[in-house]
Amino acid sequence: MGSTYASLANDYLAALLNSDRATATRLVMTAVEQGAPVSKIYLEVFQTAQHRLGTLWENNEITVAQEHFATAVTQFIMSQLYPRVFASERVGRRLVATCVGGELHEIGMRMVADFFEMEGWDTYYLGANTPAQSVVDTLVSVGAEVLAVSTSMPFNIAEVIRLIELVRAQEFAREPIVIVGGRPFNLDPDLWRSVGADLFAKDAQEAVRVVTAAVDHSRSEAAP
Amino acid sequence: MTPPTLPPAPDREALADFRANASRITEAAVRNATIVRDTLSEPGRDAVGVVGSGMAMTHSVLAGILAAPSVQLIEDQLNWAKTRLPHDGVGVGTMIAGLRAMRVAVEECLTATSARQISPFVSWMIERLGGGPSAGVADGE
Repeated sequence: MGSTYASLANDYLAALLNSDRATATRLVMTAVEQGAPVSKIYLEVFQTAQHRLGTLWENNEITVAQEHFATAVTQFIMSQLYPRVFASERVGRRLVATCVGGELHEIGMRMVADFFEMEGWDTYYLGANTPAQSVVDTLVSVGAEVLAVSTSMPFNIAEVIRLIELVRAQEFAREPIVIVGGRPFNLDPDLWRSVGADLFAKDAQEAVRVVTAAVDHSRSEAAP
Repeated sequence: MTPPTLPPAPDREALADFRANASRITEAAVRNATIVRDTLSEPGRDAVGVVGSGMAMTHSVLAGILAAPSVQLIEDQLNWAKTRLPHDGVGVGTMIAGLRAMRVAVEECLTATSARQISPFVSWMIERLGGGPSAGVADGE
C-alpha cells in the first residue's frame, strides 16, 4: 500500500538533494497548513527521506556532506513545527529519551520524543552520545516513568545493555519502563529481550501505543 | 530459508577480555594484515592507516554485536560492508583477508579460553563472505 504522502516525500527528498532548504521547508509547511498531521509528516516524509538518504550514501550516490546537510535541514524544519508539537494538553506523564554513548544518529529518537510530546507527555530529550550515568541521573531527577533508548549502529548494542543494567541497578520510587528502538531492533525481532528492555517499537507511532498501554497497565496494577 | 546458526555466545569474561584488549588486537591485526598480500593490493597507498581504521571498526562492531549475538545483525553488517566498502576501495577479498588477520590477532592477544569463544564468530563471518570453510585460525594464513 502506498503512503498518502509519497509524492510529497519524493518532492521533499529532491529538494534536499538539490540543497534547496527553502523549497524543502515550503513543501512541508504548506502541507501542514493544509491539514497534514505533523505525525504523518514525520513518519511518511521525514523518516522516508532519511531512510532513502542512507541507502543513497551506502550506494555511493551521495556524499557524507550531502547526507549531513539533508539531515540538518530536516531537523531545522522539525523545529519549525514545534509550536504544533508542543501544543497538546499535558497528561502528567514523563519520558526521558536518549541515544546511548557513542551513538550519533539522533533524529529517530528526536522524532520519538516529539510523538510523545504530541500526546501530552513531558519529554526530556537528551540527544546523541549521552553517557549512561547522566541518563540515570536524569531519570532520577525528573522522576520519569519511561526511558526510551535508541541506537542505529549495531556496535552500540553493548552500550544499550550497559545502560539498561545501570538503570536496573538504581533505586527508584517507581522503576522506569525501558523501551528500545532503532535499526538493530527492527532487524532482529528478539533483540530487545536480549538487551534487557521491557518493550520495543519499530517506529515512533508504535512507541507511543505500546508505552501508553504499558503505563496504563502498570498504574492499574498499582492502584489500591 | 533457515538462517545459518551462529556459534554459542561468548561468556562475559571472554567478551570483557576482547574489549579490554582492543588496542592490542587491532595493532596485531594490522601487523598480520600488512603481511598478507591480498590485503595490500587495494589500499596499498596507505596500508597501515587504512587497514588500521578498518580493524578498529571491525573490532568495535564485533565487540558490540557479541554482547547479544544475532544472525540478522551480523548478516546486515556484512551486507552493508559488501555494498558500501567497495566504493571506498575495499573489496570482499580485502575484507576476508582482514578478518583472517583479525582471527590470528584474537588468538595471539587473548587467553585461550577467550579466543576459543571469539574466533568462531570471525570464522563465521569469513565463511559468510565466501572465504570458504575455516576450521582453525591457521588456515589461509
